[in-house]
Amino acid sequence: MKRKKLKEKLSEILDLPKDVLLNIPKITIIGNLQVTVENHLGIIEYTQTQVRINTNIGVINIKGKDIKLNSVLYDEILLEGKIEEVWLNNGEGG
Amino acid sequence: MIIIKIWNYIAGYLVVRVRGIGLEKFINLCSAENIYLWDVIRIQNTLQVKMSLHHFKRIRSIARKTKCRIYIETKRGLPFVFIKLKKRKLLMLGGILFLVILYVLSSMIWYIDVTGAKTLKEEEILGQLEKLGFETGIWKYGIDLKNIENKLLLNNQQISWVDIKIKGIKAIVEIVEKTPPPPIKSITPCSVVARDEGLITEIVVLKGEPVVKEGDMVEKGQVLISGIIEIEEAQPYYVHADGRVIAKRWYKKGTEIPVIEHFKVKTGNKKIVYKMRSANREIFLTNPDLPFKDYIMEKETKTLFKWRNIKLSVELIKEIFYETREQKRFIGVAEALRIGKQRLINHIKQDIPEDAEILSITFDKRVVLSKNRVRVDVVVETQENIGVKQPLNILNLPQVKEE
Repeated sequence: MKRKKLKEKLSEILDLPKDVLLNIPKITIIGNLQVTVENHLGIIEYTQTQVRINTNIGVINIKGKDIKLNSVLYDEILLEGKIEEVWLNNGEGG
Repeated sequence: MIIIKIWNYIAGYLVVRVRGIGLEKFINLCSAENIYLWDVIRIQNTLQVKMSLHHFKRIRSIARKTKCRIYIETKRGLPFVFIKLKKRKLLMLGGILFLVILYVLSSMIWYIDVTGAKTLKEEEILGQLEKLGFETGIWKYGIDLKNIENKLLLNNQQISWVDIKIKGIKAIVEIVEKTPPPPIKSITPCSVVARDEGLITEIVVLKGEPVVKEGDMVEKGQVLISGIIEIEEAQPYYVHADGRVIAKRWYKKGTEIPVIEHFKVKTGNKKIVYKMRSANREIFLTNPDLPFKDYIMEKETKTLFKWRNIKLSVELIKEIFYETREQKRFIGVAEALRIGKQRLINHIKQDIPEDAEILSITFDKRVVLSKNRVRVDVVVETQENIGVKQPLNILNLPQVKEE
């Protein structure tokens, strides 16, 4: 934990992007059409109405309709569809 | 993203159906193995996935691990197109032949344009170029343009500069001709000479020495006002002679008109012939044989496409042939005379200069019974300025003789 705080401070001082330094996901949502998750740890569930993606900070839940995985890469998932809900389940019980 | 799609098409990709329980695990393992999946859609417990062709072998072990079954739905992309093409060798051959012909034809010169020729004729220059080995249909590579330019320059003294450019299948020959000598300036020594023969009625000298006087008959080319002024016991000096020399002139013309007129009447039969013309070649689009002997032809030309200065060199020509029949009619002496007079006046007007003043027109009419014709002669008397300036050729002047 100490190390993590150090890194966080470092990124604040040097104004570096936090997702790179802290190895936490970067989630980009474009309207209700597209969601990009970078730095993920894999897909837990995928159906056309629900997607759950595992990350360092917990599970990202996405609900919607006609969801399609536009591209699946080692560190990036891009999904498209009618996005209705996006929420984060912090696995640490927060 | 479109670039990625194009790349995938070039490299070839597969649409794969994956059926099983651990579909999410399958996706995760693929991404862990750096296998790029795109357009992933889940339909109940099957997954439709697109993937690169060269990744397919690696997917099998993953499928085994996750206990999924894989089916290839479709194969897309260039590699599969080639496989299909290999089976159709003639099509491939046609394609290659097309490319080869395109290349061969586009590396020949098809048009030679000559620009800037004023006194020289374009055909003449083209002819000379042909003799030098530069003509339509030659290979455009490896032509010694400098050599051809120089030879063209040496062959034609009127040309001061030549440039040959090859643009695609077109060669542009640009020529600059030497400028012609300037017109007679008002200080150049000159004489006034007769443009035509005539009887001088009035002579007004502005400068120079009059050589003829009123009432003289002069011939064509005769000096009227001399630019050489001779002074006793001194060298002559030269002036720019100027003046008006008015002379009477007579124009004569005669014609014979038949009393019986022959004329053509359209019978109503006609034939339309279409032709296509490209450069100097004509191609008949319809059968050009005519079913009749006497005809009147009307021509219509249509250029297919014209925009600004760009003109397609293909023309469509429509020729309408009307069948005619000859008919005779007695028109009478008076009518024949009238026609003859009209025709003569129209003809003679072309000979008389515009600034001439017409003094009188006299007709002489006769009936030639033996030929069934009437003869009409006309004499037009005019008065006009016949003086024209002609520069003195100083080298041939008598000053040399005096020495």
